[in-house]
Amino acid sequence: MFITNLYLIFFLNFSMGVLLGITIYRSDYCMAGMFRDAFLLRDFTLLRSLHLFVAISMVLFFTAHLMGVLPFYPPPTYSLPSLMSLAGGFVFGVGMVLAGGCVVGTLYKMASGNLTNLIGFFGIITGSLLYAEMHPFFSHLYKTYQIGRHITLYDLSPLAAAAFVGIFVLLSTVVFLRWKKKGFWDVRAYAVGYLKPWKAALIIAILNLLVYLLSGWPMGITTGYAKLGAYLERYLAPGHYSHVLFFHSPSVGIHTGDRLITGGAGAAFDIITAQEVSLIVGILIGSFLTSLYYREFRIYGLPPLRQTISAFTGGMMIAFGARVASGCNVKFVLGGLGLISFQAIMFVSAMTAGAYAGGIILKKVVLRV
Amino acid sequence: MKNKEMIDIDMLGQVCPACLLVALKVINEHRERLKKGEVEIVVRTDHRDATRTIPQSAEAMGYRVVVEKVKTCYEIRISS
Repeated sequence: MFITNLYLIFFLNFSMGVLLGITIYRSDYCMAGMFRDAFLLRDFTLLRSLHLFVAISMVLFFTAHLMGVLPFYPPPTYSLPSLMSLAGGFVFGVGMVLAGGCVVGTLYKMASGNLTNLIGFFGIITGSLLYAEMHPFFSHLYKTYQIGRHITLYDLSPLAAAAFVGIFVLLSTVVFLRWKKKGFWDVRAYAVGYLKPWKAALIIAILNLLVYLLSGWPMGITTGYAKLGAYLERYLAPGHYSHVLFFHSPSVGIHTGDRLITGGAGAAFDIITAQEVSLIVGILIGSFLTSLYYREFRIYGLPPLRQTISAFTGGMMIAFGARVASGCNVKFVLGGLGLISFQAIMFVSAMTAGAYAGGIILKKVVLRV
Repeated sequence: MKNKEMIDIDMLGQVCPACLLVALKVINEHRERLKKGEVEIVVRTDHRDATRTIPQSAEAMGYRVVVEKVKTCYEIRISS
């Protein structure tokens, strides 16, 4: 049921973004925090819910594929993995911890008035613009160091993929039941309207499936950030903008019937605007309204200087890492793991190592505690 | 009854997880006086997740924790 009307996709993804914004704000579902706190504080509470999310996504995606309702499997935004998936993932992992939020965390936190995350947001836009200058070099590196011949495990062997999903979900269910016995799902927080992480995981998995079904592929965001940067650069330096290859070469192209739908980071309304910019705007509005509803919106002023520098640098690393690896945690954690994409497995492994390194830098250098 | 000393930690607008790390550091620095009931630590935060992590950590150490929403932020009181 792939929709080809870009305005309709924009409206649908914007609506999903609003729902996502409400959900992640209420549960404070911070992916940077999940990985960081597991290492830094030995707190696995949120990471457990991410495990649940991956298991649900795997079942939903695989079942939807077997039912023949997914428009693309794998989605056209996925490609062969590369050693750059590792490099980008590591840089991204460090960046999201230093910025105090990933590409989604930055949005819902800044929407409630947090200036640290607003600085991180500008860091992501700046990092996207810097990457744009070096795109041909990094794009060449990505292709040079590509490995394997298959995008997903299903590509390699449908039988192996089915067995993997079955075993993973079975073992995970055993683990989930043990955690239930120990009361690990019953997470308590005092924030008003708090949504337990397992409920957030379930809602986000369903929203991501809906986005996949209706608009072609699961949620993505970072090319949307690059596109916002492109609009800014076109406005401030139109002469330079017209020469930047990154903004004039589409990153995705899909044939539907006799029509070719393309999209990229350039300052134009295309499938990326409909898919990703819509999500960014939706998340911002959803979380902003929720913070108003719970009477939590307030601008508390700038953080200490070291945190300001850390947030901006972290934001730039997020953008750079995502572009070098051709995707971010939204694409690879929320979508790619459920699809058993090799790109995603490599990115997430390196991102985890990056979050560990970022946690040490944050504690020792930035916060000095 | 002796008046308790209040230690106020203002973490509003700061990066995650500064709030929890600073709170843990201050709890450890004042461990003895906290246990004797001479001091109470008040953490002010705008991070919703800190209303989970700080009470969880402080309660695990045996302290009493009270969380209250004050205007647009949360006050987390830690005492013995």
